[in-house]
Amino acid sequence: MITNYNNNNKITIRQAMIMYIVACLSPATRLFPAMCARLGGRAGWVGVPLGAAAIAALAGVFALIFKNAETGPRCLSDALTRAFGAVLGRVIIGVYFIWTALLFTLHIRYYAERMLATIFTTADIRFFMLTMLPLVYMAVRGRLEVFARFSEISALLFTIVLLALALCLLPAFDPANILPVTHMDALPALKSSVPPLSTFGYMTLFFFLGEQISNKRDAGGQGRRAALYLGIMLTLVTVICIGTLSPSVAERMPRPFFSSTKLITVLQPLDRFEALLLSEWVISDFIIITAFALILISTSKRLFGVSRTPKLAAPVVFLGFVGGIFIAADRFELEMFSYSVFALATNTALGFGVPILTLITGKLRKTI
Amino acid sequence: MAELAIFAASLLTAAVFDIKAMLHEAHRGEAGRGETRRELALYALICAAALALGAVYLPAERRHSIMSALLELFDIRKQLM
Repeated sequence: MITNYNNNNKITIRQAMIMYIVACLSPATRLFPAMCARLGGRAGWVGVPLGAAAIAALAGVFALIFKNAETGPRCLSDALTRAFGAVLGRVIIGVYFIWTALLFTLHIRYYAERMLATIFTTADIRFFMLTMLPLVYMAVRGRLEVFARFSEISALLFTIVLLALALCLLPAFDPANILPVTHMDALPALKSSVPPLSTFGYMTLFFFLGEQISNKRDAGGQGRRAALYLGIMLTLVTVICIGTLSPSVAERMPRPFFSSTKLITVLQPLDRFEALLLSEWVISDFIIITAFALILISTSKRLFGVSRTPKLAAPVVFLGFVGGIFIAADRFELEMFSYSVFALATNTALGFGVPILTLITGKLRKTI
Repeated sequence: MAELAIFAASLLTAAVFDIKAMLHEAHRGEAGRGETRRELALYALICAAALALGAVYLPAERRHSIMSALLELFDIRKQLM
């Protein structure tokens, strides 16, 4: 059998953006309906397209950073050291390393908590981690192209499932729960864009894999497509969720989108579609956990002065297992952290603030 | 303690295979000596972090969380200030 792999294990910027899209879907469907309803009320759904517009701007920043393929930076670590110097650049890379490690362990825990809270309520939480992490280990050890192709197929499946679920929820949808939106909702709508901004900032982390991404100068065009896709799909999810449950109910539920899918009944006997959504979430969780593991390993390269990608799959996965168990005592601590100003502000600053500063500083110093 | 022992044994088993592969690559000339030393140091650092975290939190009587520890640390700092 001929396997169509290229020799240098590189993926295209389009594949990287698709990985990013699928990685965003799990935290977005978990966070956006509740948080946007809490911050924006009836106008909470407006925050999602506002956040998606920021993705297009961020992608434009990266297109400018990586404009020059021959002499420009090869990845974000390279761009940070060129823009801020060797010492400060390494400090910033260190901050990203620690934050990515925290997000890695958090998302392992989020995945396990979701399985525990939704279907397997009496199981041991370590069981879910022990089933997920060997797959993550194999994916990290394997070829990035294979993982990217899996992400492409998952993106297609996710689109079909989300559209089907949204269609099935239309009978329960009440437009009065999301409209009318007036000029008085401007400030709440702006506030409700903070959680989407915080999640969409994960795009920055993917550029630490820049050495394995080809044609990065096309980041602007691919980023706009990603912004359009995420804007449409996640606005649909948020609108459908708030529209079926109402803002006051959606803000109080731990998993409003999952709860709203329990309302679906097709021709009376056909229900329990929430299992379909859960299986899609597991795929998205697998992709985001593996992506963060890969980003951790890539970031460590520049931080510790190693020129080849080190074989760190095993210790990173073991660190993820222990970190995932003990990052939080219970799901209340986890939710408190997710909704905290510290987490949202740090994600937004690292996702949007630092790349913009990097571009400005690099252009002023003429190093980018 | 049994959990910690299983965890440490699994990590060390994986480490043995990975380190063997790294040393084999160095012997074949695919990586320089300095490069291999840095890779081994990085590997040891992350393994040590995983083992340290496991040693602190895996024993049954220490069921706190990293977040609780950080919050306690900040509370202590606030009280001192």
